[in-house]
Amino acid sequence: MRIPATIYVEILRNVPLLVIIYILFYGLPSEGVTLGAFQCGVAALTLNGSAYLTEVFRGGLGAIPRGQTEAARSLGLTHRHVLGSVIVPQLFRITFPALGNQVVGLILGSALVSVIGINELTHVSYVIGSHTFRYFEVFVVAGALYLVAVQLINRLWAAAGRKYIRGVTTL
Amino acid sequence: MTLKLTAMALVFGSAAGIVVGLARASRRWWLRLPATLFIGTFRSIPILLQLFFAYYALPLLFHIDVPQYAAATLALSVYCGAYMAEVVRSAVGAVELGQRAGAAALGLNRLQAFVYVVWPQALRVGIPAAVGVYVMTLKDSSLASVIGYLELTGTGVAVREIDPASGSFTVLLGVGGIYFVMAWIISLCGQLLERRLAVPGFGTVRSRRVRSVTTVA
Repeated sequence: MRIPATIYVEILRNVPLLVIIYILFYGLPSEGVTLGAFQCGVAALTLNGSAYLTEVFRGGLGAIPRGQTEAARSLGLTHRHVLGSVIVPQLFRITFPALGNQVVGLILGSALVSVIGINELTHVSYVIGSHTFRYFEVFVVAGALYLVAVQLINRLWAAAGRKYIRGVTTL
Repeated sequence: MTLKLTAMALVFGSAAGIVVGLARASRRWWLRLPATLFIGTFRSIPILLQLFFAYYALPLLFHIDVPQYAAATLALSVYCGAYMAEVVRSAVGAVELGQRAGAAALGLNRLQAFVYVVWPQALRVGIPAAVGVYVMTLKDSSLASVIGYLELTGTGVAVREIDPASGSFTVLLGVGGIYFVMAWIISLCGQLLERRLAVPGFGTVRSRRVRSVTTVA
């Protein structure tokens, strides 16, 4: 179980997202599989994000002391119960800040799908810029929008962690 | 070209990162504030947009000619620098306060305490995270292909345009494979360095890479 998971994670984390997008969008059609631009974008971001999330959860699991499982087992809980009621709630708490980072990473990564012509923020601002030749103004506005979105998520995520989840260590 | 671009970005980025990171960790607010703004801004905007800005907006703004190579190097260096600065800040922050107090008690002034006591420890703490930033910079150098710079990814895509029958799937998988090997070599160097610099009795050598890609700005 561990070896295929490691291979999956290591490959997807060490190959640029852009190359993954190109493989799906330009590479797969030559093998007879054609996906739309939007499907490719979603698939590439999913593959990339899932690999990073795997690492986040692996790290989180490693941070839970073994004694937690042992104690729960000795209390007579079944394996399924131990996982659902003891491990996962703690895992969520431990990984909560990292999950927020993952959301931010996803927003930043989503800019990349503009290269295959999906109309998201970066692509739209590029098109407007090339029509009006006012790249500076357009890119500053687009940058400001990303900045606001990312900072907002950071703040809200930290605030939510402090308010709703006990024992979250926020930054 | 990928190697050249990445190497340049790493050198400039690391230098900028150390300066900004130290400023960020400073006690003086007029050093801390600009550093915080720099880090927050460049870590919250996608590198692709920064690249577009450097390549399309800068020439219009200053009426200068910015070649693709220069634009890519500039954008990647700034981006890498912002992430490195966070690594430096957290590494310096990870050194216990008692270490500074101890140094002061031994009669070292603040500069000496930093150079001889804090920095050597911070350097060792920061290696795994720095390796993560280096790998990220390598991967993000692929974006330079979008502004038409022919590095590894750009070449892979160009092969397809020149000869559509050549099976772009295989070519692009090969491109991915090359990145994988390069990233692996960087990680390996990081591990070697970590082991090499390890001081017996101070912490343990981590066998696994610790990689935080995005940390809250």
